[in-house]
Amino acid sequence: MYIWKCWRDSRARFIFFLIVILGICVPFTIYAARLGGATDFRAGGPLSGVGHLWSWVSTVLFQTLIPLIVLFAGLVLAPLGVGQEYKEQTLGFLFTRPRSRRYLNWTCWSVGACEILGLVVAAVLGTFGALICVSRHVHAWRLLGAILPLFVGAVAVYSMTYFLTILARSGEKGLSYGLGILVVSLFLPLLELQLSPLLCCLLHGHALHLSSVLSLMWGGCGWVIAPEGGFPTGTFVFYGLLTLAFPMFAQLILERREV
Amino acid sequence: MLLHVNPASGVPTYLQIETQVKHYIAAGALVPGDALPSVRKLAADLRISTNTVARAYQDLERDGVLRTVQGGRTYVAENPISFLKSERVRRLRPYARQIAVEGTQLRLEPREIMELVQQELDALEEVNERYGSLDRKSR
Amino acid sequence: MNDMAVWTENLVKSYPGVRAVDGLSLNVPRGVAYGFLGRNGAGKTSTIRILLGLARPTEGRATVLGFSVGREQVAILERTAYVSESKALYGGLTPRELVCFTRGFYPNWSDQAVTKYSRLFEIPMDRPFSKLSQGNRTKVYLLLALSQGADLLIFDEPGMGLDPVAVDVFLRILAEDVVGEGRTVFISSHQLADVEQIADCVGLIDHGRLLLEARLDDVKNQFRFVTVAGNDLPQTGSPEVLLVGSEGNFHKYLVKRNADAFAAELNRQGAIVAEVSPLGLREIFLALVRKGEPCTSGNAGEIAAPVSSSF
Repeated sequence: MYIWKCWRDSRARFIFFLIVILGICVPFTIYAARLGGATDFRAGGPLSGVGHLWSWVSTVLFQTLIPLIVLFAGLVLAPLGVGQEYKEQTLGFLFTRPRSRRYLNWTCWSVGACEILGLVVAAVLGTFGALICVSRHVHAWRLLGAILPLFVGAVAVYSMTYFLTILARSGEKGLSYGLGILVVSLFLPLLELQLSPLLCCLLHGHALHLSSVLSLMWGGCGWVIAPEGGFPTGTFVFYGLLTLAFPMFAQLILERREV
Repeated sequence: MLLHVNPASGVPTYLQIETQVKHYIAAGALVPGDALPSVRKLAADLRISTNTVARAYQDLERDGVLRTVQGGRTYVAENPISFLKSERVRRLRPYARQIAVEGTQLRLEPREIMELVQQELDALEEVNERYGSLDRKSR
Repeated sequence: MNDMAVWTENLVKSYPGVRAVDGLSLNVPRGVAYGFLGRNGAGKTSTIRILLGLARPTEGRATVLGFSVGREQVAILERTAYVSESKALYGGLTPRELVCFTRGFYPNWSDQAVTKYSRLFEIPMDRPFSKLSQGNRTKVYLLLALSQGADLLIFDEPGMGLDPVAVDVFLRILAEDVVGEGRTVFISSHQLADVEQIADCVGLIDHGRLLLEARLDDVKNQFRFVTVAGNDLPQTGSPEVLLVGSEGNFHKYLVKRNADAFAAELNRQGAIVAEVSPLGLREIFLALVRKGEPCTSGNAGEIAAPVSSSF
């Protein structure tokens, strides 16, 4: 039942972002397809030889616009469920239902995470769905792989904001802190230059490439489209772990908090 | 059966119920064989706890005033008084003591107190007779 | 494993600078209506929040329906219904949707109860909760609690915003469907008249401590006001006697037990016992909360000097 409640809380925002994403991707795909890009699909890589148009599509959409939109969705969808209840002062009601706070925490988080997955899948399918169906190239399915870096990047931001909402007991504060941290983190590569030697020592010589979330998404999508680029595995794993760490910290906080 | 209780009174509610039931019986409004409302119904009507009503019914049953059958319904007992006279006297004594104490506190003469008691007994008998005659008329 | 509905042992809850609950040992038997009374800030809501797992006790233990508070909290919440003082629910949902949301948590939920009580309380089931009046909000909260099929119902100010008709409906439901079914009711309220009507037991708390816990019938059978006229304060020395007021020649005592014996003793000492009268709950509450010290020689409240027994 709580799933239903969390869905209701975030339904409007989810649908808004879904419309925005599909509104961008689908018309563009239709336009590109009409110009005949799909039939030029040849071996080499999913999009090699397809022509400028598809490269342009991937660059503009997948390496600029979509990650930003999905990141923003991650921020905005985070104040839902338990975090939101602080504002309405209904936690006294919710926490006296026969469910552990752990269950409520993870249920709430999962709803948002699924919504983000939905948005990401819609973005990828909306852009490349037609191409994948039409193309006879065996690697076309790899385009679907773009879902992974987009999802992990967005859900990491979502998890962080979700945690901040609970920490600050307010949706608005959580969102502003999340946005602030996100913006700061975009400057992380600068910081990395100083940290690298330290990190190298800590990791016994393995170089850890700490990138921002956007780098993850761009790099990941870039790899899907042009595999020579290399997949940012380290960053991917790092943000993946962070995604799970934040709701765990949120759970610890909720379990200890007095209402 | 319409009872009335005043929960704000210093008299416990269960005692009020017992007193009223006894009064009804003494006045003839309730006769042996009459059914009393179930504990739940009476509690609901009076907006009081079923424990209170249950206690009143239990006390009355122990006193021989009421009788509960197997199905759970409670009736006015056939022979309401089945105790030895000494027992009955023992039960009345606290009330007699209370009248004596109160009367003395109010500076009434013993004679006046006795007159008062007699007046009450006469009034009760009059009510009994009136209901008795009504009963005969309706048959 | 005890079979009390609610049991606490030396429960303490400290906040910075204040002990909201200070060594509280409650005993609430099953199947009764228990009135939990006290002034504002006496510790009632803090105690209730501890029982429901919303706050953690600083010291002491508590069980609800035999389950340990804190460790077995979910088991407690499965069997306990709670109406909080704040009566806050999700503003965007209608009562019908709130019912839909809540029923999923409880296997013993009764839809017939929802139909019956929503009709009795005259709740507008399709208006958003945020647009309901205070009284209607309370009614919705009561509806959810009463339909849950709980073994223990904890009410914190259930009469808030309710008109007398609605209060009457509520008391009737409690008498017939709750206590009448052997379930336990725990009411914390300032509406002494309503508590007095339905309660079997009362627990009176002040400054986080229990001043009185007894069956209401016993209290009414035994507590008496004794008004005495005498020039000097008679010696008593019993902890069961409190001096609650003095005016000139007259002194008024609250006697918790054996009032007749006390009156007789005063008579023997030469004082004139003007009246021995029973007390309603309001008078008991005010007398105990205002004057918590037993009357012993040398400690007579407003009257400083110990007195001899000569008149």
